[in-house]
Amino acid sequence: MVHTSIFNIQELLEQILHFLLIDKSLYPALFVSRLWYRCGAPILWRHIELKGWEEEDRTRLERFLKIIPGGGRKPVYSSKLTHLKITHYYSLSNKKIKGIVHTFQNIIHLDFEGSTDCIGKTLKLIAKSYPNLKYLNISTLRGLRGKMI
Amino acid sequence: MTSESSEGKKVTLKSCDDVEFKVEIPVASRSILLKNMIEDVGETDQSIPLPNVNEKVLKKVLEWCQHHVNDPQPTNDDDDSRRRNTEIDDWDQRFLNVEQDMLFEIILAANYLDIKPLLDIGCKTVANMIKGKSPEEIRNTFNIVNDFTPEEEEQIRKENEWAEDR
Repeated sequence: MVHTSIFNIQELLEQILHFLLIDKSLYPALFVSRLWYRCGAPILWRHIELKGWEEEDRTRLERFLKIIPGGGRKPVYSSKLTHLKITHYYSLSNKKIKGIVHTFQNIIHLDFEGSTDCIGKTLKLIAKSYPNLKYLNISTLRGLRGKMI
Repeated sequence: MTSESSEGKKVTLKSCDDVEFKVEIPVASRSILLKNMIEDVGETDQSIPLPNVNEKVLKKVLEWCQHHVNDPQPTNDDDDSRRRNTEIDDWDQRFLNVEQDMLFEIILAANYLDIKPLLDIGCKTVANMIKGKSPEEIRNTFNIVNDFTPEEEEQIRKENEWAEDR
């Protein structure tokens, strides 16, 4: 048996990359080879959780929001994102939410807790764009709760 | 066939290099592939050939099966809980403290024989070897060729930068 062959079996490589995600060590693995990127990026993009109140996450959040196009080219694996959680990020404008909705079309779990107060417009936009949404949280810091639909 | 009724009964497994192992059925049944085969075939004196596993690896895999013979058979729920952490118990850690070639062969055998808990700890062990390494170090460790163009690398960096340290 060739000793590198476990990495040629996609299922095994994905399992290894899945464990790297749990240990927050997946990012460097994306740059190993095209195969590793093709297997790793969808795992990375499936669930995204960014907390605005945490210093480290705030930088990540800003980087993440920067790649959301205003109508241009979407990130390659944007369709893989099903769970998005952006919490306590006070600058999540309606325009940004529009960008998110345009970019990520397969979201079923959306959590903007403490990140938006444009309830009416935002809710309409989200409801229209995600007919398959299973969970929504757009509660604001002021105690208004809009959990679960 | 339940593990109670099969206690004491043995099955013969034959490695790809023609070495036979007489194994108690509950031990062999840690492998879902073998469990199904034994259930389908019933009692037989004929050995079960394993064309993808050599003697050295089969011996090692059976050692694991023997140690874990009384573990409950994994369910889908277990699958989730096993996959939610990267912990490996002490005995398994010592068991997998082997040369890289052997580790990879154990993983391939666990995949072929369908022994999910062994496959999981094997993959967790490889993930632990990767953890903390740069892409170049990962490639060197596992002899992998970088087939990216600089432009592709740049594009990936741009789209995934938010996930640094993830």
